[in-house]
Amino acid sequence: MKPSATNMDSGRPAIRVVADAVCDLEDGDKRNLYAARFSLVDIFILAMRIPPIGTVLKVTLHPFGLDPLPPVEALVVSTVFDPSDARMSGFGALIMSMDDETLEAFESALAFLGQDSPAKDRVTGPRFERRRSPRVSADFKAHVVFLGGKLMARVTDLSMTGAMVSLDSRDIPSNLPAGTLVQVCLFNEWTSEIVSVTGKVVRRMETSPPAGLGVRFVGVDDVATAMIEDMILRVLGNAGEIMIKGT
Amino acid sequence: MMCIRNQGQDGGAKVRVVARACCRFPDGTTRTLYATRFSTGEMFILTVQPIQIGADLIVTLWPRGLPPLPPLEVRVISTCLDPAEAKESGFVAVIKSMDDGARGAIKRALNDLNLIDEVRAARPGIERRASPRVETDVKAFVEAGGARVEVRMVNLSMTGAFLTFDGVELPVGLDVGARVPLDVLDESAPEYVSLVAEVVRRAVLGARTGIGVRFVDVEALVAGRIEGIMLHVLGDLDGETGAG
Repeated sequence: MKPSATNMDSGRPAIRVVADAVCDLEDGDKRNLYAARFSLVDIFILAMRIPPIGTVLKVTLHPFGLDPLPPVEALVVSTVFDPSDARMSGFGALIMSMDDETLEAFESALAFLGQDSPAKDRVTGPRFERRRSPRVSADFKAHVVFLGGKLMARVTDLSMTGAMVSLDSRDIPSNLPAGTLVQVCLFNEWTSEIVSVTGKVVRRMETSPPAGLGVRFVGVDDVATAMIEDMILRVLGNAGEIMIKGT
Repeated sequence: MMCIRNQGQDGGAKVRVVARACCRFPDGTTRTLYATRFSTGEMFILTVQPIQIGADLIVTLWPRGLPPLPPLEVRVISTCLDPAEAKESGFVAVIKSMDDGARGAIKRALNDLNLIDEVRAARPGIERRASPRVETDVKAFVEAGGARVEVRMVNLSMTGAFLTFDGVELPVGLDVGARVPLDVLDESAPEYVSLVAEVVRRAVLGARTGIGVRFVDVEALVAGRIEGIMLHVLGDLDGETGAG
């Protein structure tokens, strides 16, 4: 049943909905929405009340004409709320994990609905997303300060929530185990500023030289946050020229 | 110019930055970000921090090698923060208001940068609405002048609706500013959704008259029902079976 309606938004055709999407949000709110598409990787769900980016929700899809699919955890990575086109309003969510049984159920449903070829998704492999923040490959001079000393390094991978630090030395000191709090000082080559953030070692990589540390930032203040974002954006956009010209 | 050694993920796929974008947020904070495109209708600005959809900002664009453009009032209509795709992270903002001087400045900057003024055909240049709406033909009742009057709801958004009446004269009690009870039929339930509506404008449409209303103090449960009606209309869901 639906309301007596024109199914048109300013003369535009209605969109194709492929499944009911029962969404359990982190705050306990349960919402019955609709999926305009889904794949082995992500789901686009129509909504007029949009959850914030980064929200994790449990989604149970009920494809029309089929049994419900097993629930999946999904991370909201995109949102649209366009006043000029209601058909576009909703959010995109990446599926965070999927066991074999769930994968097969999704593949069968997609085949039934004639959506994206499951085989194509299979080739590249479903991209189950565990990170929360986009990262860039980088090459920033840095050093790591910890209770036992100071190590020269380069940051080879940077996000708003952490960094991959490649040490200049072959080995990681034994007194720097996972869980150690460190100070990572990054040099912004465009502005010649140094941003210093506290981090926690979450991973030690000693299998191939140079040795490396995975560091998750903790307690980053607003100034450091802005500086890290600026460095990421400059890497992305090769935006150094703008600052140098200094408009 | 400095040598830029740093590369984007996967060996250097980058985006093209066309302007620095100084953004002032509703909480008063200011951030310097970068625009990868802009036009006389909207802009895309890179960021790797979450931005709230619907946020109203003041953006001053500094196109590469050119003087700054006049500050623009914009509204965020689309955001993306994909952990796997940093270069797609950012937001689309539509321009809410702009005078002829600002429009001319944007056009000149686009011309100087050899960029095209890409404005989506569906977008009316300047966006003043805050919420998308759908065209409907839903039965509703409004209480006016002590009477319960049947109306047709001809469009609906999360924040308001337009109601039409038979005849050229509006019932009494529906002056602009009046707050009235409104019951909207949700045929999918089927039951009525009760709201309080404030009249924000009156209009004559040929042989019919109408009022624009905004919803007042909408509770979460009612908001969910309004959303449900809108999604049913959008998705052409008649007869579909799923979770219900």
